[in-house]
Amino acid sequence: MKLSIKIALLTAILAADLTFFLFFRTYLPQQYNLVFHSLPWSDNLEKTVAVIIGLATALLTALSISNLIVKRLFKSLERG
Amino acid sequence: MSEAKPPSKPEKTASSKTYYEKVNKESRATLVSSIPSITVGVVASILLWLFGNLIFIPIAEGIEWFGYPLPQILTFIILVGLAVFVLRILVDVRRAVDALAGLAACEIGAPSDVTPTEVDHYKTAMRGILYVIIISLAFLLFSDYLARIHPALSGVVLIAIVVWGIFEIWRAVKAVSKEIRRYSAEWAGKALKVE
Repeated sequence: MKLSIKIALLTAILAADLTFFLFFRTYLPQQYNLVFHSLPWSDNLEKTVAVIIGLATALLTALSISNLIVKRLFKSLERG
Repeated sequence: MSEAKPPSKPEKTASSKTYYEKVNKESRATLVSSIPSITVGVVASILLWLFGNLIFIPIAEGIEWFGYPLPQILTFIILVGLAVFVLRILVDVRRAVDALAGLAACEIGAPSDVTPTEVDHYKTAMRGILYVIIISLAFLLFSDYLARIHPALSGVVLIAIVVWGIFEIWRAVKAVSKEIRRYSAEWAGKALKVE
């Protein structure tokens, strides 16, 4: 897979993750809560799992993007 | 019993030149390989701090998981993550500092006249100074989370860092002063020979 496609894909995942937790929770709290109400488990359990998975996803995607960019940057610097 | 003969002057010059080239080459290679991982580590810890502090801990307010407040669980997870990243950074910084010390010894010292002791002194000095800077910066990342666990924890860690920092700076100054003493003795010897 090309580097630009990888970065675009990871950025899209990061944007979706942050949009759900930041934008929906702040500006559309009803829709945010609707997602948790529609699931069969208790809201607290769902929210706990969702928040931890959200944090892990945000961190992993951001890390992968920075890793790809930094490695490419240093490779091109070495060549130059 | 036969005594080992000291190397003659051309032999000594050749071996010190080989050592100089080896240190120079290895230091450059190590420095180039360690900088990307340090950069990624620094970015990762800053991102973890930002995501945790600004997005996910405020979201977790009021949620409980089997009776435990989620913000404290998240704080613990973020602290562990930060500790892992900072340790990785320290390992890479140690490699980079050793490489920098080698390069400094090659650049500052007389060409082709670098000794392992000189490199060790530069290593001690640079490690000390950079460790103090990095640990102080890392404390800024940790202090909020430590205060959330217990208000006194942040203060206790700060006192420990200050004591350790003074000790490290003292070691660095001692190593640099040894090098200065060696150089001044060499220069004094040369000056006396000329006279």
